Amino acid sequence: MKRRWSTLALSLLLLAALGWGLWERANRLALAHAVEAGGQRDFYNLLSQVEQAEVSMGKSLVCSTPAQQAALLTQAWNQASFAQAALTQLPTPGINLTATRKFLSQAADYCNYLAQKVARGQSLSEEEIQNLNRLRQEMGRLAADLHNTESKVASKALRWSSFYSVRMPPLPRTMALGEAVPAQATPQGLEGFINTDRHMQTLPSLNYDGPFSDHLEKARPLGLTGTAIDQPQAERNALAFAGSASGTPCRVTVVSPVNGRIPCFGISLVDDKRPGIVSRVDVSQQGGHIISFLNPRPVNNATLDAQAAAERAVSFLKAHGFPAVVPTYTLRQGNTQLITFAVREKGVILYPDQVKVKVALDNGEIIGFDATPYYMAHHQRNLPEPAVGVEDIRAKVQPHLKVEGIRLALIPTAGGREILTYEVTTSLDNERYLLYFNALTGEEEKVMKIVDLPGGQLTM
Amino acid sequence: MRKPWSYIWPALVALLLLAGTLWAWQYLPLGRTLPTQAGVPVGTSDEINLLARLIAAEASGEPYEGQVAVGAVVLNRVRSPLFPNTISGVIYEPWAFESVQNGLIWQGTDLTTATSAAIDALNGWDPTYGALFFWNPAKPVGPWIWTRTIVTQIGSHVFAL
Repeated sequence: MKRRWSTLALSLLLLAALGWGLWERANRLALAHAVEAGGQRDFYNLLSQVEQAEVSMGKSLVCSTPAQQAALLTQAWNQASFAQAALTQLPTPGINLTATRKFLSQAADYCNYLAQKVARGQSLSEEEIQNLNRLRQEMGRLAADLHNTESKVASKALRWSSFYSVRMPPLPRTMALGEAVPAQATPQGLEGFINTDRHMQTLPSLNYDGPFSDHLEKARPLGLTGTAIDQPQAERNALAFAGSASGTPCRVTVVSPVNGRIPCFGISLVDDKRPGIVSRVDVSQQGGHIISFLNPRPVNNATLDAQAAAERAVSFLKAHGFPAVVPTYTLRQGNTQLITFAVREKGVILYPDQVKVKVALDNGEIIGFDATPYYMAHHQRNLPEPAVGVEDIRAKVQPHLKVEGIRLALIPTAGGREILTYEVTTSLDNERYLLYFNALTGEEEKVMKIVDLPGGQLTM
Repeated sequence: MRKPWSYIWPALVALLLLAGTLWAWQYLPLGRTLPTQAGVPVGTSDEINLLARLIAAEASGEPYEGQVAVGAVVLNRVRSPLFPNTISGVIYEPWAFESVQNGLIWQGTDLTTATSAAIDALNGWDPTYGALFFWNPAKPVGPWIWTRTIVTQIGSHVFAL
């Protein structure tokens, strides 16, 4: 009797467990199909956009009119960026496709750069045509490689969802031997991607006036003066700076080297007034300049306004030996005021030489400082004389815009060059736009819209 | 002398209880409360929010500049040709961040500090001077990661170009 009971109970239990397992499996499959669909979508988007980008690039090389050429290059730019976006979202674990990603970004960006050039009425140089043709051939090669992989995808030899399955943890033995856990072995079916990437690593570098140009990777700080300093000197500089920023003496807790674009001593500080709050100061190894400073203390209710904060920031910069600066933008966030400054030289605003200061509105302490852009860009420049007059620029502005001000400004280009421009502040309805005209040629170089953030203000 | 099935019986009961618990677990509101924005001192824009979530999930317990650094890595990736060119594209790239993989990014935590760090990163502070990768050397990582140029270590994260 008892035996029968337990048998019944056991059978029920078994059925319940089985049912639960099947139900979980159905769930897992539904999710796997969704993931599979995502992977397939990205893969086929990548394939078709690469093919179309190659076609657009080819057309742009053979078309006869600049208008058509600009349109086709713009199309190629769009298609190649779409392809890059699709590639970066493809689940390809444990393999590194950075060269292919970079190629697509660069090809897109280069087409954009050429399109802009044609739109400004210039024609492409011999070298640019050669570069474009080389990129087109590479795009074609990539399309062919992707086709080979496509046959695997179509025959289901390559399942994107399979890369998401949980791997068994490595054997305890390998952990005990202290070996690094190997990255995922090459997932099946992705050999084509790996070979493509290997080839892409061998491409020559591409230098042009755009954000993805290869020469920008080697950017060196131009603003560092002086000779190498040692760590005790760096600590003294950091303590002096933090002391003047918060008005209390601090102690150094940790120093670690920072070997980035500007080699620094990264110095952590505490002041005894606020235990548990660690500030950070980066002091450049060359010259001992303060590159950046952050004090993460909470800020209480504001007693100062933006005006008082700006005055506090200006006198702070003056005390630390900065050349003449003007505030260009100010933004209130919580009870802090962030003010962006640019250096002014001979009446020209030098936008590349930028310094940011963050002021606590409860007592006026400086709680943030960033001079990275300044030390990357600042150097002795020979600013040219403007060749176009202010009235000529004013005449270029569309009649339905209200001009609020014109001043000379040096602006950086995406490719790291600098252009002397007239900055024209205009308003359309309640929106403000900044127009930049080349002061030597009168060409319009750039249009910026002022996005009004709550608490943000352009300071003119 | 006990019969063999007398052992199977409690074992199965235990197994079923375990399975039931696991199944019920996902319906329990444990640590899944979404964060309130109360106490966050800014009008959160969508970008600040996304970035703050990632910082809270990847770098909670790290020093403040370590949290800013994680935010800066995301923004450096947005600007780099090697990565997607939007913040959401970078954060949700497959296998880019452990917290997205294991769902920690969806766990509600206190976002106050992470939000300040996200704002500082968006305002241009970058303690890593352009780093694109970070990892915790105490955890297993792929060997290729060590081929990158290391910039600095902040807290328990190594940052590299």
